[in-house]
Amino acid sequence: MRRRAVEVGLVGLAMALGTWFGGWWSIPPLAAVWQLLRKSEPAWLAGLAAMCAWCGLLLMEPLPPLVRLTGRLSGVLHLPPGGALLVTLGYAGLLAWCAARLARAVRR
Amino acid sequence: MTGSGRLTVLAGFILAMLVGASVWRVGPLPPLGGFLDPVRGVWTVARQAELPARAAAAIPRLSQPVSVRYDQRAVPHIFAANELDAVRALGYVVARDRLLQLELQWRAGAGRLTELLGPAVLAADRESRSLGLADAGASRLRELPANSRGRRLLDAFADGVNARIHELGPRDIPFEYHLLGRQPSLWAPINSFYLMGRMGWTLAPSNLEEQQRRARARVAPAAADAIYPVHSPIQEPIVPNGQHAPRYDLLPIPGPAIHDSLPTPCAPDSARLEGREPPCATAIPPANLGLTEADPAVADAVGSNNWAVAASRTAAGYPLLAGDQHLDLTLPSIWYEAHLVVADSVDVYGVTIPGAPGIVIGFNRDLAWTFTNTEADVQDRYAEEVDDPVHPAHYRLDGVWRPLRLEAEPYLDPRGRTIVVDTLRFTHRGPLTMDADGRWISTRWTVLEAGKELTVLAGAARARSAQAWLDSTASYQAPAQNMLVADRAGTIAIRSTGRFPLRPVVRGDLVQRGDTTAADWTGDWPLASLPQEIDPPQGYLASANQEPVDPRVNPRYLGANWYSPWRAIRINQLLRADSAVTPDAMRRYQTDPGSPAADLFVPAFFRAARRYPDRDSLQQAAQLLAQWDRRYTRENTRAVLYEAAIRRLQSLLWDELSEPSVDGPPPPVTPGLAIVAVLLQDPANPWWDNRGTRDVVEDRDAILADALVRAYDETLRRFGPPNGGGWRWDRIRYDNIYHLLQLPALSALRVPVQGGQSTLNPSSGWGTFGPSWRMVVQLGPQVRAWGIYPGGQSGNPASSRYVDRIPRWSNGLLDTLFMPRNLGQAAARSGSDLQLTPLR
Repeated sequence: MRRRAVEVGLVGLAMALGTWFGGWWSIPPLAAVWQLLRKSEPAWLAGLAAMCAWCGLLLMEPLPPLVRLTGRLSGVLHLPPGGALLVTLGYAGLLAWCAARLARAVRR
Repeated sequence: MTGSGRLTVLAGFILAMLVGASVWRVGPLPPLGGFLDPVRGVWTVARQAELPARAAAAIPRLSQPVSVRYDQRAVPHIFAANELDAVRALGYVVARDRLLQLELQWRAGAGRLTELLGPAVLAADRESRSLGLADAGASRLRELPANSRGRRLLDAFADGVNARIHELGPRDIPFEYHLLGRQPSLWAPINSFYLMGRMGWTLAPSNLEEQQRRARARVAPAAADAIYPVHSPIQEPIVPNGQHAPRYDLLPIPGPAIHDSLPTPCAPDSARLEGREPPCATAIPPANLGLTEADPAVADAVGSNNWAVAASRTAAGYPLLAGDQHLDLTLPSIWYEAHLVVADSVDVYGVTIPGAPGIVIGFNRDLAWTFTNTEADVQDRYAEEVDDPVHPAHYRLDGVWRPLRLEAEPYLDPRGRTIVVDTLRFTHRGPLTMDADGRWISTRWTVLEAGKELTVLAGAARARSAQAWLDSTASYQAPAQNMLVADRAGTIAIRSTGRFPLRPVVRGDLVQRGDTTAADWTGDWPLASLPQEIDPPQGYLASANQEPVDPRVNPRYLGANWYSPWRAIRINQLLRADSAVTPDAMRRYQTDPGSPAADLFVPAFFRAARRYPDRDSLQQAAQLLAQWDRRYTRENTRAVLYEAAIRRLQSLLWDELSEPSVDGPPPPVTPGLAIVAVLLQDPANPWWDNRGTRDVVEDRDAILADALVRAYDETLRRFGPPNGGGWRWDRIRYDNIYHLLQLPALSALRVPVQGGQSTLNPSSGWGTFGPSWRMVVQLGPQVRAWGIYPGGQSGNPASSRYVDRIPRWSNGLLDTLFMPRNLGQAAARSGSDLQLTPLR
């Protein structure tokens, strides 16, 4: 369990670095590669790692403006308060999960 | 297929969709990948939200380093070695805080919004271009010599803005650009002219010629002339006329010259008022006159105020000046606060409009100034004879066919594709457009021929006395402003400054013949003739968009259908009654809830109610109205009834104007309340008659009583019982400060304010227009100043400075303005430092 958590953390770190230096598009390939290497792990862990990665990147922003921005952006997108944050994390998670899931199928 | 297989297919499908939406736009959404990316996307806006403790930037052509210290209110204090460097720094700091606003404003003036926002805004672009704003901007820039001071100021401002744009990385793009999926475009010197042109349009009075045309399609010309008069029937002019109270020039108003004609099954109003018949629901079209709350008539008294008090009438013995521009309320605000300091030449504090290379309204160490709009008629229309009714290429002038200047105007979308190409036509007078009747009308407008304004204002900021300031602004042309100035030496002065045309006709509010040069303007009002006053014996000066000069003093045509002068009356009431004015009193006056209009009309409703003592609902309504102190305080619960009654009164009174016309033009705007005030003195005037009641002639009191009853019914229906809490004023009237892109989530909506129709803090129907910059300046040995605008310095919605001023503004409070003399003083209260250096 602990080993798995560390692994997810490392994958998340790789995804954060990938996003930092590359962009959003680094998430699916990193998730796919990880799944190809660790075929026994469930794909949703890749999604979790991506969400952690982006959450960490977002938390690098100053908090009060981030909270205000979340409220404003959620309103603009017609989402409930906090919705924009969830959509952002969900987007990253979904990208990673889908890519991992496909990689798993390819590996078979 | 197994469950796992289906899941894989689903994952593949979702991934394809996500990648597609991440790369391409889906509907109004930008590509999601770049948008949600926490490193380069919209979330980076949080990082730019607050000013850093220290920052540095390089600006091309800067001759010396410039120090900028932001104070605790995020106002930049710019210390530069020369004026051009100060303006470069101003361009930089404005772009830093208001980049999207800069772009939207110039694009609005140039008619190029579609290139940023897409075809949805094509109509707005077409309007700007057909008005000739874009064309005029190009002409103004061409006429500006390359080495002129004006050109150098525009270039310097562009240097500053573009330095900011050039340094923007993906993590510095403002919020709205992320939403739009666009990049900021570079600033060109011409953009300042586009901005001024758009401002001119905002401040242009209504289309007087069109108003007359619509009115004359329904009533006799004499009646139309009387209800949209050349001179205000209530005189409280800007230039004091020696009287100590408003004067009512109660000239008879000719009737509409049409009679009851609409067949209707309704009982006469008198029968209904006596309770013998049920109310007639169809007698008056429910939405007649388009009397929504946004109707110009309802907003008749909306506008700006300013006043100055001589030292002899202030408690401290120092002159005081108050300014209060009422404009569209937007987020970010139309104004940006700044302080420019250039050793030994410029030390000016105030507000600029993002895009203007200097302070527009403000003060220096010796004087303060502010504006209200003059509302003069500076725009004339001419019916042209053309060679082709659909695609004209020539117009006839003095018997000769002259070629029209034709300009192809392409409108592009954000990807540079052409949406449509229009052909604009110009006569020697100005742009030529087809009106609703199919006539080709050319327009001459001073705004299209002006161009020195920005330079003039920059020069005036250096003046050391009121007289020098007036001299500096003498060449200012448009949009015409009531310019008020006060200095430390004790001088107070006002001048309606601008270019006012001289015409060969008595009235300028009718469409003129275009086929002769004899109809053209013959010159301009000489400077000495402009409405002006210096140090009047009464010890104060005030303007509120009212007719500037008493026609008994100067009857020359300056405009028509002036705003009803209720605000001017109220300012004069307050200042006449106060011989020891304080800065705090000036502040309180800016949101004074008193209404001279209510003082006039409420007794008239009572008089009408007394005439029908047996009408229960009328008596109840009158009783409720009697409980009102005629003040539009937030908590009062009776102003709503009065407001409804006034709306109903206008609807009933002006029914002749509101009738739908099958082939004719739409109804004109509702005449001002001042005209209704005149009619109150003429109880049997035919205008009072309700056309919807055949064979019955109503008089004043019948209509007033009917209006009050209908208002009472309507108020009960909409807001519940009188004491149920629903009638509270701040639940009914509030300001709505919309974001420039009209996004509610970025707006401040339902902001409670004190004030109502005809008060000094008037509220417009939709609450989107109001006090945009309130300022009070005391001109003592040390200049002291207070001010506020709704919004905040930052245009970043994630910033604590985005809407931070709204609570105090809403409560009628002002912030103390900090005007440091030197860098040391500025640094002592600085929240953020910015060092600007020359770009090598």
